[in-house]
Amino acid sequence: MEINKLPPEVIVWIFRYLPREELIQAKVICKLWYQLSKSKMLWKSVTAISYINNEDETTQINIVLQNILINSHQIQNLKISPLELKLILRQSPEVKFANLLHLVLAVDRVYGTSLFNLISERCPNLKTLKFSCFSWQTWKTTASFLTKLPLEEIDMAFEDDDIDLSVLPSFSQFSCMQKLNLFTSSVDLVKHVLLNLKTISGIRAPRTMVCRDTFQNMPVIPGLTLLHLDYTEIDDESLFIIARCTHNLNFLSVIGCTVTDKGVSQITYSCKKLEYLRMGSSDDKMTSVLSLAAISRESNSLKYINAQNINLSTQQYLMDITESYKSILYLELTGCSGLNDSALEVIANNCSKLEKGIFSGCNRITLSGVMCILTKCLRLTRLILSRCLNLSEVLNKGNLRDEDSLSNNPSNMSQDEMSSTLNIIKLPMSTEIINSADIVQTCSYKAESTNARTYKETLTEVTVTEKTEKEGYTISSYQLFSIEQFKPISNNLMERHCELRELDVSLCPNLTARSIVHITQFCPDLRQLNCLNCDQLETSEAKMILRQVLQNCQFLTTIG
Amino acid sequence: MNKIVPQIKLETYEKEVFEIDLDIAKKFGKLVPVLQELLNDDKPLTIKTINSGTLKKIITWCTYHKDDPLPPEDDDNKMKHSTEEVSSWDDKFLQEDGQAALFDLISAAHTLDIDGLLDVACKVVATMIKGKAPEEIRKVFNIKNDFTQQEEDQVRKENDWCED
Repeated sequence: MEINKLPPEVIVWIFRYLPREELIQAKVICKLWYQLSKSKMLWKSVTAISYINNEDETTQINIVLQNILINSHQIQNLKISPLELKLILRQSPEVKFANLLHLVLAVDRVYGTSLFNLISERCPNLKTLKFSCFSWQTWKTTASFLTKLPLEEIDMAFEDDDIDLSVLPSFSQFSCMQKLNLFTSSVDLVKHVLLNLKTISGIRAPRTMVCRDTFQNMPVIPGLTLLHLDYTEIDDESLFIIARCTHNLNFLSVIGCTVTDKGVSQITYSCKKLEYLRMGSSDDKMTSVLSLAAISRESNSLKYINAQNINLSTQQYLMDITESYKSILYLELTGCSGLNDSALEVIANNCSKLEKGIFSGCNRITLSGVMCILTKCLRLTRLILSRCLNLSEVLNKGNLRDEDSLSNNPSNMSQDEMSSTLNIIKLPMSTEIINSADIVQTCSYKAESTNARTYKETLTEVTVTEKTEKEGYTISSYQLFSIEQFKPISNNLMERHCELRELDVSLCPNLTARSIVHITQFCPDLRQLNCLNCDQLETSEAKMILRQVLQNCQFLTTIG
Repeated sequence: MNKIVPQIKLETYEKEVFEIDLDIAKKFGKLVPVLQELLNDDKPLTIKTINSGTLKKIITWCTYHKDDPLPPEDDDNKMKHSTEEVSSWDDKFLQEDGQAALFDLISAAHTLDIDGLLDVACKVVATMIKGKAPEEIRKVFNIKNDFTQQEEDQVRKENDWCED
């Protein structure tokens, strides 16, 4: 079959994956492509920043802007600099963005009020608007233009911090306003909006002076689903009040606030719909009073957890928490020095759906833990491990395997016993396990011809003999399974592997080239590898070894 | 102990009948309810537009991806989801039989409403288009330029509005 015999909607689907410039070029191929390149679907979202030379405003509208003009009635989402938009609207009075719903004014600040006037006239259906403005003075005169629009979300930042209290009433005039993102230091505004805008569903006001008083006497707001209050004066008491008033909260961010386990525990208990939770502090020198134990086990809707620099001394909690939330997609535990390999193992076993894992600055992680994540979380697309000082060459698969067995029998040994045993058996095992892994590998090839059951039996026999001879350990079939998982990706097409796209191991001074080569064997889909400032990788020998990375990952596009 | 897996029967262009496990056929979007009704039927569902080779590939793809989460319903999320790049397995799988087979596959995926497959396949085609000059694109995909000289000039003018 040929491309043009495909149904037109399929061709449009293909066009969706072309960059804007290429799409414009595709118009000249043939009549069919010309027609299809104008379809609504393709012009729904347009990003058009920095296409224009600011100095020469009057003469030229470039090719992308020109195509925006032609397709203006199709566009639903537009990201553009205020200058360019002004230029388009001024030069072509007939152009109307009738279907524009979301407008982001990027790059520059908006000076003066004339642009807002133009927007209010020519984008009559605008629902969300994002801009940053020079002064509140501007807002005072623009608010009256903008209240004419059916705006539901405004994202605004102002250069000057001093809010003029006389602008407050203007906010009550937005009849459908749902979300306000305020990057200003105005507490009064937050309070005013909470009390007066009945339709409000979300407020972002990081780095403001929002405090307990802001929420004092707040009525129950069933519509409120988003609160982003990083680096504010929020404390436990405030969280108690918030927990009482907002049962439908979906997103809560309190990084850098003075909250403790008590407050977080209360709010995660009360708000059953919470999916996003961000807490902790960004400063790793501050010993945080927060721990993962704060997350109430009653709250089982959580999908995104970001807990930076929190206390992670007891892994029991991690086990409990990840077990109750098997659906976690995003986990960030930056700077949690308590996080070690067995903790990563717990995460790998419980969170099979994990898509992004960020464990920067977790000094106790070694390669074994990383391997475990890579072999078990197959949906992982992004893994950040920068500043993990302990990420070094010691590549002992045996280590991992033993943790594996131990964490499955937690009743037999306490955490302390576990880690001490680990240290003892770590080294003698490392070489020979690789051998047994090889045997497993050869067995698995044989197994393709025989049936699966005998295959398993052979496996058990082989490895048990080898093990019992040398270490006097008995081995369960589960452990065998985990060894088998460790063999690098074979050519077998049907075997599922980790689809990791981005790996960041920058600033890991002990990481060697060989280890990277080993890691990359497990992620053939890698596109981005960031290994800046890894001391061990600077030598020319290391650079030779690094070439093998390219063999492992044929799609690799950037190496930092 | 063999559990009986419910199967559906599909007949291809070559009149070959394929039995497909229901948990694999659940990838077939809008077709699923139709297929479920046919579940206990002995007569296969005939889809003349799909040939056996293509259906085999589709079954392979669906088996490999059977545990993937379903793509999100609403359009905005779909767009977001779709920025993900094609995995090496998919890339190799889709390109190994050449261009004609790829378009057969796309057309079949469209007929059977397998969004996931359609999506990756379209991405693969888009990468084939990227970075090529118009004349090259026409050559690669065997497309005839059906513009008259006048029309082509007009279209180019639309584009070249102010190219130096």
